[in-house]
Amino acid sequence: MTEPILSVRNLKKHYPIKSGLLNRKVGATKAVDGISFDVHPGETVGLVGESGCGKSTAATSIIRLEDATDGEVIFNGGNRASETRREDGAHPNDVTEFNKRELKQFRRDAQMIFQDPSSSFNPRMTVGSAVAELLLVHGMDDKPRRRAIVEDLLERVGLSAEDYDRYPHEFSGGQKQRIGLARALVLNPDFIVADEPVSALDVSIKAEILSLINDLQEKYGMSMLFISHDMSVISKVCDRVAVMYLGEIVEIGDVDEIFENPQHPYTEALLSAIPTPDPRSRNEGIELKGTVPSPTNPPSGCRFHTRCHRVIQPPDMEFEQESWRAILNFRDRVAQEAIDLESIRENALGSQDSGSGVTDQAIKSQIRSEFGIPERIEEPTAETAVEEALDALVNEDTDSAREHLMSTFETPCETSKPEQIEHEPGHRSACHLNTSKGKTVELTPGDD
Amino acid sequence: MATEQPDTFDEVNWESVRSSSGIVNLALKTKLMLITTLPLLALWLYDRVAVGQREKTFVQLGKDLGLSGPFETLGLTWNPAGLDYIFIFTIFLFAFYMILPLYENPRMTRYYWKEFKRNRPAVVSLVWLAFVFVVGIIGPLFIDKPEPDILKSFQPPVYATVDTANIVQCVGEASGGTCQGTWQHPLGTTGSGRDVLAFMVHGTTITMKIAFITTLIVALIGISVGTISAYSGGWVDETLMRMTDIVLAFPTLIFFLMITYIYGASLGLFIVIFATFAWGGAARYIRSKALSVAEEEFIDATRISGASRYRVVRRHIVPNTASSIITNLTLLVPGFLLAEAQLSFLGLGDAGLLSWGQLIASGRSSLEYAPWIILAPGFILFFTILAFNFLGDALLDALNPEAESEAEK
Amino acid sequence: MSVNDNLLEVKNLTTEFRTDNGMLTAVDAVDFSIGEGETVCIVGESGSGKTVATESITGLVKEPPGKVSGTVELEGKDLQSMNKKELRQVRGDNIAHIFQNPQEAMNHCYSIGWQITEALQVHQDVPDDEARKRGIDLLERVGLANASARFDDYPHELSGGQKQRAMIAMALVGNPDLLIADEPTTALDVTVQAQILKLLNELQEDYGMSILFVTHDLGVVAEIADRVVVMYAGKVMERGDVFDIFEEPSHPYTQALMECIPDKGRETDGIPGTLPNPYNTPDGCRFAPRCDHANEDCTIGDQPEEIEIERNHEVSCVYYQSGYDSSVVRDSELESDSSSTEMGATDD
Repeated sequence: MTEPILSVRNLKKHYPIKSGLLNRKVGATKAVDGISFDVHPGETVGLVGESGCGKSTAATSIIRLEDATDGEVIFNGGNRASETRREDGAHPNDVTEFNKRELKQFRRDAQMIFQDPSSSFNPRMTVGSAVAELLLVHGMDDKPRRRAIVEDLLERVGLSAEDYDRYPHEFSGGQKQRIGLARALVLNPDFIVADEPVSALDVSIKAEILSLINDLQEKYGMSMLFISHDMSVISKVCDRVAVMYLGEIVEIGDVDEIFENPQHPYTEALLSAIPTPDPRSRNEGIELKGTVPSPTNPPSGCRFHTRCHRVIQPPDMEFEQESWRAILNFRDRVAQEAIDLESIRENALGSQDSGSGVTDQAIKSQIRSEFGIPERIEEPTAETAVEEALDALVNEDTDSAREHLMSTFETPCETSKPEQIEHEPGHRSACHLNTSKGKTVELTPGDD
Repeated sequence: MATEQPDTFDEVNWESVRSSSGIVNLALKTKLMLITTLPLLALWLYDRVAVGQREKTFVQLGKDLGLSGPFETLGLTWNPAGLDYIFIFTIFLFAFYMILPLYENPRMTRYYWKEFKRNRPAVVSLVWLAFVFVVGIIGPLFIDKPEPDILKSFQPPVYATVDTANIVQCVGEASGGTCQGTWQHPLGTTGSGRDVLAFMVHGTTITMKIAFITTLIVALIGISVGTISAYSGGWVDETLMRMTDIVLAFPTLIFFLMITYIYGASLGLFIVIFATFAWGGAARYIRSKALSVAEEEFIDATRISGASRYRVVRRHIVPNTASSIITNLTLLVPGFLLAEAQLSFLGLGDAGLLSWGQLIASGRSSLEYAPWIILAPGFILFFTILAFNFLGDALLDALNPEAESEAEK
Repeated sequence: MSVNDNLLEVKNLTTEFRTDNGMLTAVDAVDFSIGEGETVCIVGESGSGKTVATESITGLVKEPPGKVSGTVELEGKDLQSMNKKELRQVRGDNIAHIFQNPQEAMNHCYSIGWQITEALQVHQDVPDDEARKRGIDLLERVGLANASARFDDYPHELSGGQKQRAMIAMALVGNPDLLIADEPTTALDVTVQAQILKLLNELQEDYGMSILFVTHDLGVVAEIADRVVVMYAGKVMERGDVFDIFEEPSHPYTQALMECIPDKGRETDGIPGTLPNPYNTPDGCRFAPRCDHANEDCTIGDQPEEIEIERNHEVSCVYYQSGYDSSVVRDSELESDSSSTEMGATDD
């Protein structure tokens, strides 16, 4: 295999949380928590996930707009090919260790396209000079030459040379994104990070820009890291895709592979969230409930288990998958002490219609119905545990309710971290469901 | 564009691109600024070192250069003081860093103008201020300083009359106990016999000095402190902002009165004290604006281009914050003008100064029979301050290209 | 879903703006209607006038510089002839509006609960504790987890999707007959978009309200619409039942929009060209300059009359007029239709 242009190894970006008078560090927001992947020359790798999963932070850490907390980003583009590790184990091409001079050189070989076309240009600078600024910064003093290069480039991205002297506010969003492409291209980089470049655009313009990106990549052969929350966009431009959830990569593989044969439930959910242009197949997808949990205190084990629709059941019990999910949600809510008895009582009152107080039974069934737990769970041990927990709750004894639930219900997903499993060459996922399906892989640090 | 090197981005051989640093690369405005400021600095040094206290600078310069003759025929007998040098410097700054960029970027200028001219009162204000500016700069070259002449005291303006009982001598026609105004003194004279019009023309220069120099000082300190504070963060930010708090809480007026009590009043002192304690608001404003600009994606885009921190701040953050401070400053200037007038009126200014405030003050005791001494400068002062306020308001709307693009969506 | 008498009748709606560069016609003589319990989607690119059209209905267009003409009838009452007070009443009780950017549509100085109860108490005389209870109920109804605790949160403490949910709760306060949703999911993640669309579908069933949904994304339309109005440059290009539109898109513009839905294995370049200059719209069909099938007849006269090609499916295209061969346009439609079924297969 050829040398990858970019190898990310165990990259971490933690933001310290400080508090108190002395600004003591009390914790960390683990926005990116140990991701590893490669980008090969001429390839586009997608990084996909919901907002808050850390994909943008990963991008800015890779391109070194922010300093990574830990890990390596080895960039072999430009004329850095075939470097080997030094004796102390450090790699000469590690972006996170670049000094000022090396970093400036790196900027020439790696560029970025930004998300918001309306704020990614200085409103007081003509777009031409904004693009030409990169040439100037890298030492091209010849003003007519700068202008000639930029005018030529503007035409190549579908604008006209006269647009050089116009200001950002005179362009539409799609046109600005074309200029953003020109700016990323003007130094002729080997690698471009595109951070949600089309998510702020109309569908018709989205399609235009995506096909422009494809054309340009074909023509100039650069590699790309393409970040998006939208699987349908990923499918249009990417060769491979890495699915990120809460700072970790849960699945990575060829786009075709991932679309046809998603191995991680999160990937499945993302795929099914793509609106299908078919009015007859409505509401058939998997609905991903809630939002990404806080990366400050991520769930134990598999981080997706709090929202997973295929969360594994305890070995000795058997449920409808839906009720199992409901019980787990109920358990987590009790554990957070976030059950508001008062409002439940009122709701129960509302559904009961009798003015004479609410019976404990009514409250209990109200709780069951609010969480979607069936009135009778088939599994007897589970039923007893839930009933006992409900009794405790009604008596405002949250501690013992929690105890009942925690001791009875436990999913393997939360106890251990899933290993990376290889399904096909290059297609890996990290899910307990797949443990039996393939062999675990260990990424060697920086295989050159 | 005939260059031997290829003019497409993908064929640039970066190894051969070498930066030729030096004076050639400086922007036109920087070059012009250097060309004009260096002689000014030289002249100032010459004035300090070689010219005696009582000598007029240009007379001495003529002698030293052996050009007394031509200098005399040209009437070059000007004797600039410290404040004049600073004033000329600010005029250069204004011309090269405000007017020249507008000329160089006609597209943006047209756009600003289009936005600006929607506001009719502001356009009138701009015309008025331009007039005041021109009079302040060239007026004193054509109109001599009004000298006191006790025989000509309280002459009425043209078409007006005054009771002869109040005057020593009537320059115009006196009939039936009233003295007619003449074109010799179109706006009349003061109690000490100074021509009001000439007084006002020279007062305009003072007004311009106050406006320009205070603006320079406030902008310079405010932008520096605000930007450094925003970009450095940490203890630098903390220190600078606490300093700003002190400046904002400082009792400037009392301080000024104290200093005046010790050293006597002068225009220089007024400008320096009031301006050095007025930048607090501007600094805070710049800081918060700079913080929000630093969040914008184009700052990241510039950082990723490989630009130095200095370039990011100088070319991207400052221009985007400084334009919004223009409004702040245009609203600050009227305060200074009013303060000068008020202090003068209360007799706390430099009585020898030919400012509008002093003119108003000099009419204080004779309001009954010579109201023109107060009315003429009073109106001018009022309209000038009003104009600054209108202008500030309109600039706030016009200098914001984002607002428009949003509205177009 | 049974469609009785129309809840909202919009006839000949025209909205113009006086600008520095002359009169700009954003919406040009547009008609449409919404039945009770029905979801109508207005779809088109940015700048096609779809947002202005909805804002004109509830009098949100600022006049001047705007100028709205035509008739808008809600349950037979003409909104245009109402005075400000009556209009405010209607805006609160009968029509609610949700917007693209929940951040901007919310007041950041007050908790979401405060904003909901305020909206409630403006229109109905309810005591504070009753208002609070109903506010919490509503937040629960829109699926905001842990609603009673969330009630006192400020907008900045919520995520984008949660804010949009809270916005919907606020819109539901007056139990509206019509909910106008202006690109409510465009600023959200796909996963959250799916949640919100599902929620709107559920709420519609529970409350029996009508929804006027504005979007540029046909994928979203397929998820939620009963009927579709395709707008381009201030004019209606095509309208019809959602199944007709997706299975038989008949106007070249609708077909082009269909092509834009990103999907695996299909190469699309978007729609070449840009919207016409709104100050000087072209003669004939507004889409003609970007249309693959345009002939000379497409560039003369006014926008072609809408022709009913089947029941409740109307197209404004010269090829469907008598004397033209509509298969020219239909054929390319067949092509895209087959590819759309194909990709339906790959999706499952």
